[in-house]
Parts: sequence; C-alpha cells; structure tokens
Amino acid sequence: MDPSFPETLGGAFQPSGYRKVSARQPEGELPQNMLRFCALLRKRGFMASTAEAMEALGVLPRIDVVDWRAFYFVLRSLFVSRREELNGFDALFHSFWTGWGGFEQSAHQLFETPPERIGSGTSQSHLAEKEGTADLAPEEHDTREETSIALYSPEEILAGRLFSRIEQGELKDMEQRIKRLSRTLATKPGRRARVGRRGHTVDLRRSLRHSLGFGGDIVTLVRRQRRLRRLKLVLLLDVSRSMDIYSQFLLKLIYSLHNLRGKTESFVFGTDLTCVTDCFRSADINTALANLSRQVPFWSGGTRIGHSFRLFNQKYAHKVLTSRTVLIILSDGLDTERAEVVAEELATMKQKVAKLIWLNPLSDTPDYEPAAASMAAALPYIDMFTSIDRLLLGKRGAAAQIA
Amino acid sequence: MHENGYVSDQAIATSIFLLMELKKPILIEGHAGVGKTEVAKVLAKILGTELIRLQCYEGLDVSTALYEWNYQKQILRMRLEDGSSHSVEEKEEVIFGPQFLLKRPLLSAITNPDRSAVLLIDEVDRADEEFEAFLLEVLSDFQVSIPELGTIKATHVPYVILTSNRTRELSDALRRRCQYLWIDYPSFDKELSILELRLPGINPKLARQITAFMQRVRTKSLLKKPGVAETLDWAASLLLLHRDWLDRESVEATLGCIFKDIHDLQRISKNQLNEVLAEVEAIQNGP
Repeated sequence: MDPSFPETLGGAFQPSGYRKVSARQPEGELPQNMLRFCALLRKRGFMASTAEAMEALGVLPRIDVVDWRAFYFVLRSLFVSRREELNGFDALFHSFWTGWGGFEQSAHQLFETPPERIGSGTSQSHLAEKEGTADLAPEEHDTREETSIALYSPEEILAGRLFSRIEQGELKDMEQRIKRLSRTLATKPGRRARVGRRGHTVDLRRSLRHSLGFGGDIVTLVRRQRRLRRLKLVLLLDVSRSMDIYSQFLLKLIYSLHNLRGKTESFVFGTDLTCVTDCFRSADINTALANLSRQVPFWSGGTRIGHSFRLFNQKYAHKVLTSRTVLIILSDGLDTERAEVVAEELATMKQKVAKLIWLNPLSDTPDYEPAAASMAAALPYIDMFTSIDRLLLGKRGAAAQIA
Repeated sequence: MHENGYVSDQAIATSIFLLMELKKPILIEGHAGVGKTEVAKVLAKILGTELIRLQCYEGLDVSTALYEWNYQKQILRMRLEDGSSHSVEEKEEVIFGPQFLLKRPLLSAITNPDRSAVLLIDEVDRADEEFEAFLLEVLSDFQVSIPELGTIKATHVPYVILTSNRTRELSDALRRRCQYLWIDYPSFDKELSILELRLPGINPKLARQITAFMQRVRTKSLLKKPGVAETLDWAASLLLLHRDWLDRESVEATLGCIFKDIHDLQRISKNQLNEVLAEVEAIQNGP
C-alpha cells in the first residue's frame, strides 16, 4: 500500500475501520453538484449515468477522511471508462469542482500543473484559470453550457457538393455483382464450432444426449465443425481531386457494400480524414451522398496520404481494426508528401489486420507501373494490389485470394 | 499491498476500495507487463481467498468457461445402470446430477464456499463479442442457468477483475458495468521501489542505473516497449551475472531480456545504446 495514503483509503482492507464521516460533508449541496457534474460529463460524451453518481455518493461517507485526492480518484474510477477519456476528465474535474467550498483543500493542490494549461506561461495560465473558475463553478454551470454550444460554428459546414443523381437501375447491377463477390469475399473459419457432418471433433455432449434415446448406447457420433465467419471490412477512400472521375463509381460500390454486409466501416480522406460510416446507413443512396457532401469539407482537394493514415492510426485504428478485419484502401497513390510516412503507417495497420488490400484505379491502364513514390513505398505492406474492375469482374480466383 | 510485493498508488488503491465496497468489477487496461494481472494475485493473497483465473482466447465458449459434463463418468454410470429397471427419465435424472458436473472458472467463482473468491478474467479483449455478451449476463446477475439442473445463484459474489491489452475495443455495455483503471508505465521513483522491493539484494547503484536505462528506452520508438516485467527479468539476469553496474558489454549480452522483437533489436542501434548508456552514467556521476 502506498505509504502516503493509509489514513484515507487504506481502510479498504480493514472493514471494521470505517467511521461515519464527518461534519465537513455538506449535506444537500453535494448530491446536486454531483448530478450536475454527471450531466456535464454526459454532454462531453462520457458514459456517466445517475447510477454512477449514486454509487459515488454512497461510497464517499465511508472513506475516513475525505480529501481532494480521494474524492478525485473515486470519481475517476467510476466515471471514466476508457483511456482516451482520462485527460478530458481531469480537465472537467478541475474546472468544475474548483471554487466549490465543500472541502477545505482546494482542487489546485490536486494537480501540480493544471492539466489543460500545461506549457502556457504562468501569468497567462493564472488568468485562464480565473476565467475557467468563473465559468465552470458548479453554481454557474448553466452559462457554460450555452457557450459551448455556440462554439460549434457553421464554418465547418462547407457548401455541399453536387453529385449527379444515381438511378436505381445502375445500383441494382452493381449489387448483383457485389453479391456474387461477397459470397467468397472475406470469410474464414472462425474459432467457434457448430454441429456439422464434415467436422473432425466429436461433440460429446450432443452424442450423449442423442444416445439416451437408445438407452445409453452411443449409436451415432455427433460431430462439430468450424463455423465460417465473415471478416469485417474497413474501407479507406481517397477523395482528392485526382480521384474525382472514379468517386461516383466508388461511392456506389461502398454504399452497396454497406447495404449487403453488416460489419463495414468507411472513412474518406484527402487532406484530412473523416469517418463516414453513418452517412452510408441511410435508406437510399442519394440521401447518403447528400449527407456525405455535407460532412466532408475536403472533397476534391489535395492529397496527404501519409498524414491521413497517421490520423486514422491515432484516432480510429484501435477501435475498428482487429485480426478479423480486411482493410481496403481505394486510392491512386498520388501523394504530395514524403513516402516514408505512408510506409510507416501502413506497417502499423498491417500488424493489426488480417488482410491489407489496395485497389488502385490507375492499375487498369495497360502499362501502369506503381512508380509514384507513395505507391512504391506502400507495396511491401500490401497483400493484394489490383484494380476494382478486376476484382468485380474477375472469376472467383481474385476474390478468393482475399479470403 | 506493499508487504505482498506490490507497489501500489492511489488510483489502484481507490479502485480496490470501490471493488470491496460496491462489488463493482475493475476493468484494468495498460501496456503489456505493467502489472495488471499482479493486482488480482496480490488482492487474493491479502484477502486470503482463492484466485480463480479465466484466460480468454478467441473461440472461448461456455463449456470451457462455465461448466461441462463429465462424459466418461456419465457413460460408465449408464453402463452400470444397464441391468436396472429404471426408466429413461430416471436414468437422465441420475446422470445429470451435480456429481457429474465439472465446474469451470466462472461457475466455481460464484459457487465458492465460505467467502468471495477473486475472479480474474485475463485478457478479455482476446475473447470474441459473443463471449463478451455472455460475460455481461454473468456479471450483472451472478447466476447461471444449466438446463439440466436449473438456476445456480452465487453464494458469495466474487471480486471480479478484468484485464485487457486493447487489441480490440470492448463494448460500451461491458465498460459500463465496470470501473476503469489505466495502469501506465511507472515513474522513475515507482519503478525503483518496485525493483528494490522485488529484488531485495540488489546493489542500489545498479538499481538506479537499470531504472534510468528503462525509463529512457521507453521514450524511443519501439514496436514493443519493455514493461516492468522486463525490468525485473533484466535485473535478475544481471544479478545472476554478478554485475554491480551497467556497462556496454553486460547490456549487449542481456539485450534479449529487454527487447522481445527482432525489429526492435535491430532498431536500437549501437549509437542509440551508447547514447542512453552515457546519459545513465552521467546521472550516476553527477550528484
């Protein structure tokens, strides 16, 4: 046990040592503030429900001496649910509870450097802190909410891009082909088993159950075989200017993939990267495209493949990539940046997925060679390099390679 | 916890306190080798209770995690019953009795007699989504139903600790059921005290050098950064070689203890190694 800590929570191991606290606990005020804090966390995307607030309130009186550190750690344990939230929680905790007179010590003592302002000058940080305190103290919490809403300026929503409308007939044709592809694309025996005649292992449990009908003689053996499982698809689509002529077709392809296969995640990138899975969930493709053009500000711009891949690895990779994922990159590989970055980030992706596929529309031109620096750097990490046409029209062989 | 060989901090202590108070499972995440599993082991030691461990892997299913029937015994029993005049239903009643039930970790954790056990569900991110969903059910009610026997309720709700290496994102539902604890690489002081606690005979200068070395190595770009487990391994091997301080020769001879990946071994070039060593030595000679 941490030697600096025995009076407060050391009691965890001597259940008899609990005392009811403490005149210092301000009745009435704390519960309300706790619920407000909880609401604030929820607004910022934390999974904080009233249940956790109740748990925190229930447990605080059982700590012998409530100090700020103990209070902070109890709240952190209960309200934070992933590593990415830790910093955000520290900042919110600090600004919310500072200035509240419930404890003798101030929350400043908790952080040697207030987490949000690390690196800024002393006088500045002092100022900033004052502002923060005025805004975020529990009593004035409501004003703060309003400002935070106003911060989402409409600047981000750029003029929507117009796609030519897509007729249902065209889509039907595409879906036909994808269905054919999808049957072989990306399935692989899973670790789970089901009853089946071709299996190798004997399912003793079922064999025995079955035998009861024959008075306990095992007449037939029930066997188990591996259940086929679909792999998850993650698509990264290049939407820079050089890809413009293919965009329409590729978006149709992605929409059909989303429609036909459940587990698919899509991202578009150019100078930046955005997750667009939600856009493709709409019921018809034209709505999907409209949503898409509203959400993606960097359409038909430049290309920073390496930078976009890095963003993907930092923000999304740990959530969407698994050993049962096929990652498909749709890009012409024409980049304006250093190629080493692309190679480095692809190496990271490659480690996490089952297959890494690069579909390059240029590779259909007769004497195409992957000469662009980024494309050449990427090749060693790619399991399959081909064009979409070949994948869709080709015989089963091409698709089976993915499996 | 100190007496049991674990250097704790307030975050860990708070989580354990809440586990005792609320019986709310702890989900521990952190890099490999920072002592996630140790928490459960030490807790079981302190409480003087049983540690029941469930190692997760892809395809882990109910019969390995919860219970299984002892088929061999059942078949033998049926043979013995052959001559008797029991009906099929009566036979069924006999062979699906508790004496033919093999308890797997989850079932033995909730039926532990006398007191609550510590249930360690290790590397839960390796199990698949199906198992996670099943786990949720067990963790929320602490009861399981076996079709042949009926529902079995927990006699004592176990202290549950889950660990994850973040190879897969866990579901929000599971996260909501648990309190969260992130264990990071230790600071210099913490790592030094871990070293001194676990290897009491170590030369103080060597301990400081090793700690300083590891702290610096972790700032380099590596595929697998060494954890505390590696620090302890390395220190133990240096002790075996009777080294009292770090020099290039002994470091190069024992690099395999620290770097577990061929690319990392290649990536840490001689220059970098010398650089780190020089820095470490500078510290020692400074004050």
